[in-house]
Amino acid sequence: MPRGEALRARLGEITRARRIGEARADETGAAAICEMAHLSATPRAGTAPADLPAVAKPRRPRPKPMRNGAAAGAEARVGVEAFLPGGEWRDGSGAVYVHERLRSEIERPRSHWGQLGVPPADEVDLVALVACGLERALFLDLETGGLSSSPVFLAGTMHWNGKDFVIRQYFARHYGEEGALLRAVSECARDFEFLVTFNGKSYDAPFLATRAVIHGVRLTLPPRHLDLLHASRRRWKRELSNCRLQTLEYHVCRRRRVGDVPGDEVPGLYHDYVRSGDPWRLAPVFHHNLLDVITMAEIVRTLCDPRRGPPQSDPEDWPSRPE
Amino acid sequence: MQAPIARFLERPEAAGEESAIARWLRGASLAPESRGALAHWRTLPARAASFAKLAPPLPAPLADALAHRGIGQLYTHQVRAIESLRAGRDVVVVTGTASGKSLCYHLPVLERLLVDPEATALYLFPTKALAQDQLKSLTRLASGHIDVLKALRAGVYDGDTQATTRRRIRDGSNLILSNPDMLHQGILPSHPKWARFLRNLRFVVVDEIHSYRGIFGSHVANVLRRLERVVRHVGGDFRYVTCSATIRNPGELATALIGREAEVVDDDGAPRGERHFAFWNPPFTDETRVERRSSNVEGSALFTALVEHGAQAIAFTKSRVAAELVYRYSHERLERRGDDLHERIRPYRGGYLPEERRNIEHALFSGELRGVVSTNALELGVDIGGLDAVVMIGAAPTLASMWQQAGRAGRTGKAALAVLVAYNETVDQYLMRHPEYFFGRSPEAAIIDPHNPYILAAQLGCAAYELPLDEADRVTFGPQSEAILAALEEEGETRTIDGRAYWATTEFPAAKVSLRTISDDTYTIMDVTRGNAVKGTVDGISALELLYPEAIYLHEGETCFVRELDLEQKVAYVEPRAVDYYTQPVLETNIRIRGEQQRREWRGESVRLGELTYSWQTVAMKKVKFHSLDAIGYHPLSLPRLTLETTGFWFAPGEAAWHAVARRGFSPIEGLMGVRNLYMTLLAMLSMCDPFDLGGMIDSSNLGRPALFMFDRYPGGLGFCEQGYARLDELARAAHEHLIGCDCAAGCPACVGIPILRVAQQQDPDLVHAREIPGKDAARVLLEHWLAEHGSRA
Repeated sequence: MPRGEALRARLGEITRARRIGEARADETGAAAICEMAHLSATPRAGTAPADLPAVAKPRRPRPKPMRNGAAAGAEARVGVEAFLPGGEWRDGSGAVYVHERLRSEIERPRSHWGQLGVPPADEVDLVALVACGLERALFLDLETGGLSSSPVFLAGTMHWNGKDFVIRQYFARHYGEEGALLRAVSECARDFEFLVTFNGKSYDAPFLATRAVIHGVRLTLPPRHLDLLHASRRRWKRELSNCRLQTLEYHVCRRRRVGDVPGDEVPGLYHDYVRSGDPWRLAPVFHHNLLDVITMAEIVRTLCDPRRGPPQSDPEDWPSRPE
Repeated sequence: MQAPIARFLERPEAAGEESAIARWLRGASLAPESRGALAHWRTLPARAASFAKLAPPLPAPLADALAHRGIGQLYTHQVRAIESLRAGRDVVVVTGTASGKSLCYHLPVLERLLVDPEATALYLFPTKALAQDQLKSLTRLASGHIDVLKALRAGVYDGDTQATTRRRIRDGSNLILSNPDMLHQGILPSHPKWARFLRNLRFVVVDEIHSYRGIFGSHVANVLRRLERVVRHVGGDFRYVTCSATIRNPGELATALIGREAEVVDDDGAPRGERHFAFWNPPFTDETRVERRSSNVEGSALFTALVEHGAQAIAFTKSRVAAELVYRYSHERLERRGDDLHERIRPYRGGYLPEERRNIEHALFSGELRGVVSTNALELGVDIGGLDAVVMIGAAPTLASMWQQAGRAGRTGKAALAVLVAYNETVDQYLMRHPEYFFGRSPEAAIIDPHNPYILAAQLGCAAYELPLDEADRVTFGPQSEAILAALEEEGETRTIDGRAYWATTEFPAAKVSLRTISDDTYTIMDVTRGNAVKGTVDGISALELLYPEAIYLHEGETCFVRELDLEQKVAYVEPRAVDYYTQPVLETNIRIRGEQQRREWRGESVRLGELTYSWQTVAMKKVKFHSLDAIGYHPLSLPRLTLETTGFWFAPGEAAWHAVARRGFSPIEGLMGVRNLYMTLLAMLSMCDPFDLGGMIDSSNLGRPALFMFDRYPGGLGFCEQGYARLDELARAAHEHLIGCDCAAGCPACVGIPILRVAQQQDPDLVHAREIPGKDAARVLLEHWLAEHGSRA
């Protein structure tokens, strides 16, 4: 049990202050202990005169735990609002922070954004998606605390409103807002026919289901699910060394990322944020999540265009990040 | 092969009609060479079966399945257990070995599964072998009727379950057999994936609860509370069926373990034949009356004679080495007969490959094997059927284990024989002189402390990871949890928001928390002459005492020479080699003060609390000749030292105390030893741990004069000795009360006697020499001196 010195010291204090006999005086156990030790004639252990340590240690004054940004209200100097303008989604049982913006606010709008070509006939899900229209698809990407039982703290969604892509980011400002995040995503998902993810069949969807059990939330996701990982593998596995989202982004969207946070550091950053209330180190995570959903839309478009393959030109010439 | 159905139908033999093997043993004790060996003989009377009627009766398919197994009626305890469960109460069943205990849970569970296809049940066993064994017997029972078989979808879910089957069992089974460790690390942390199983959970069976004692039991109690809260979370509700061997406090243990009041069902209705107990003390070798004949040799002679007289028998030994030696001697003896009887006995112990062990259990059950020489590995309830005779070579460390071992003898209703063969060693010799110590005392209590702050801190972290902890959980985990959560919060492990404590780090807490104190690092033993085929395994600590270079490692009686011990790869390379000796490690233990945390003046003594390093090392080996036990060689070894860094308290009694004892004509050092032994027992009670969780040493090398060291046998310590340090007065008073309350004249194992110093897994008890029990009066005077000191308590 390798634990911090401070914790061990505190547990030691608790242990030495404990009076097992007293705590159990009214329980059957105390009687059994006395009997075992042939002590039945003597007073019970707990009633013996107190036998205090010579050094009556004053209780260590405990530092006040720092309050997190969301709960701290006025105390927080910089809240998440500074990085992610938005408001609260609320229902009877809680709130979650929502940021909303249009894709055209991030990059130059293109006329082809809403247009899907003709997908290969053997990509059944893709054909179905095109048939029912881009407006009926909800793109989704999650950022989580890492392990299966750790929280999902950021859900990025995107959909086509006929003119532009609408991006929403649902952000739990602390662990207590995760339930509301799940309810908000569920509410949003109700209006769509298709869920579009990258590896979501193995990751995002079961993760949400798991978290919904923990929070007792009735999760609703769109009835159909298009997982781009599988379609991408079928299309590009021969040309590309791997089919990770970042690799596809590089080759399909001709975009490279700078200043990105390595994926395995993301969970730690969130826990730090909840502890400190200071969101600045999380800012790249919001951005990263945003790019992921945009990239998914680009992959869908590319998959529907049989002529387009991985580019041959030198990637060094491409813009590093859309601004 | 299945047990003959006749076994269930046999009638008890008429009272007074002594069984053939018991008659034989009585006769043998009269032989001149065994003069004086029979120290005690006692016969416990037979008891007739007592049946009861279940109202309403079991569903017809289940009753049919039972009838198919030859069971037409239920014993009183089975009926009571089922009726209590039907009425919604939690129960603890405490009845003898082979009393049909498992039907107390199989029946109500199957009854429920028959009427409710959604319902699920979880069985927990302390070992994987027991889970496999119970799956077999459950399937056997269910296969008696097609409806029962159809209703049951059972599977074992443990560390050996293949990844591919795991999911199928999780999603499809309605009865899962597992162990607390798997529940702790494998099931609870991913409970949302188990939602179907947990929501429909109706019964949790915890068998062999007497093995959940001390640290292990305290952890398991918290794991069960975690189970209950995730089940409640998804809307499930279940009853507990717990079973225990005979211990002093089964009801108390069950209640502490499951956190609910458990109804004790102990009206054992199973029939029992007469039971004969013989205490056998190997005679002195000569007129000097110092050395006795080897107990291993003597024990193997009794064991083989019983087998030759037609009894199916088991010999229990105290260590793996002893099991091998007794097997070897017995095998040699039977070989001389010239028939195949020597092939029908086997050794059995931990470290053999699992399939090898299953084979032996099976062959024993079927009757194909006539005898087994085992360590305590066969003490737990793997169903090997009832045997005719048990030879215990050396007394087990607790009375509860001794009764458990003796209980292995006794086919339903037939006479049984148990022989205790004494080593020339303190406790065994005491038992030979005072058999009432065994027959008159109730077995030890099993104590757990789920509220231990160190254990609770570890468990609350795991619980918070599974579901945030709220107000209700603070009741579930007890009054300590508030303060401990505050400490975890300070450490940054949890974070409380709106009254709910969340796990707040990226770590997976259950991975750092092991329920058991034994390490999981395992050495593999490979045979170089057979292409490095795996021969067996051994735990990391024992490896250094068993498999050092040039050691003779005994495996199924065969002598193997250890060529090399690879500490990096954790592999021992051995080759079979016929030699006429075996080897024994020479251990050196040591205690060192690492740091002092606190100091207090207590009744004239200066007592410190701090960090200690307890270490031990195999420094040499002895070569010992088979049979004669002659030492034929001694070789120094250089092996790594194993250490336990822990917490403890210590003090060196001052001159006043020393003189007080010496003035009365007693030995102060003997007094201090007696106090150490008393403190081992009483501190365990005071701090609610098992005596095995504590260590105690008298050492002069640290302080320059004899000092008493008490420490926790757990890395970092778990607060047992911290409790003792804070309550020195209570400890001394309790020790004094205990001492003067003991009926013995000059000291016995129950008071100043030898405590459990170390579980000598790898030692041959035959080579341990008897030590005197320290004088009772010396310890009494020492304690009285302290208790008379005044003005120093503040």
